[in-house]
Amino acid sequence: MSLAEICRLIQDSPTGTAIRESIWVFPIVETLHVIGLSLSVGLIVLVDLRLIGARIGQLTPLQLMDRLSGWYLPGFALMFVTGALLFWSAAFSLYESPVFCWKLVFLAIAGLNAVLFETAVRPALRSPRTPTTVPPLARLVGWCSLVSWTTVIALGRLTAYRLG
Amino acid sequence: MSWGDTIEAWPVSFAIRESPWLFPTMQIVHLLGLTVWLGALFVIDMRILNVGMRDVSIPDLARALRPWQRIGLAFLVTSGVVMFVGEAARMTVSPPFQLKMLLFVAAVLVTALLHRPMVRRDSPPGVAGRFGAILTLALWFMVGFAGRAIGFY
Repeated sequence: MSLAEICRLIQDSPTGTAIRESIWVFPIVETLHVIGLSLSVGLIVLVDLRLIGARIGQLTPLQLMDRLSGWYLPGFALMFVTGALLFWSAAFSLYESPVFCWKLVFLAIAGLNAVLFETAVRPALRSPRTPTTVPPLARLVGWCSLVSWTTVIALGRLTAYRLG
Repeated sequence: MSWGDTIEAWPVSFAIRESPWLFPTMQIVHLLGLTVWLGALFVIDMRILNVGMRDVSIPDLARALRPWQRIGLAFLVTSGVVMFVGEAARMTVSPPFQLKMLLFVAAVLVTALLHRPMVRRDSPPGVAGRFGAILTLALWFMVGFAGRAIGFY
């Protein structure tokens, strides 16, 4: 079975059809997906800004992350769940959308960037030998996160044009 | 002729409607502004409610986030005005838009009169302060909800 057929099956499933045709469910899920941005990307942006040199009190980047992760992790969970529900209702339309395909590419870049942070940057920031300034790789990861998430948001907004 | 029609008759309104890329760009800028504005506001209000960032004082946190809040708000207002001018006739009669503007004015007033003085003081916020934080956040999120509803109505 091809990916296109699988997406067609998902979109035409009873749940997919129900979300798509519901007067309330689709708009509410989409609104939660949009508002959830502020709790996920909105807070990650603050960490990124700290990584590229902004000051938030006296907090180091890791201290800032520790204090915000209790909010942005549920925020990302909300984005993922609502995003999955939206995909469920329009899987085949999205399969055919080049804009959505690019959104997934930039989501993957943002995800790999986060993996790079966890595997390379976090240990370096934790090391007592690291100077108080942010190392170059950490700055690069901060910039990459800012650019990739901004692009994801832009492509997400453009994806909705295809569905509307 | 309603005032929405008057605005739509402006050449600039016509130009906004005719451009194939301006409206989508403004919607993206609006969304980016929302992300930064609400995100920063959320962090400050959670600090006021004493459920996070306890080791940074409220004025320090507010000072650090203020430039980013300003950028977020500037994005929101600029793109919002452009989109309104482009679709003024439809907007002035749209119930979700009217509700959004009502909530927006309330949110601005509460933020300016209740929130701003509070984040300048270093003393722990009392019951009124906590109520102000919840009210501010609730109002701005409701502005966002009403805003999203414009596209569906």
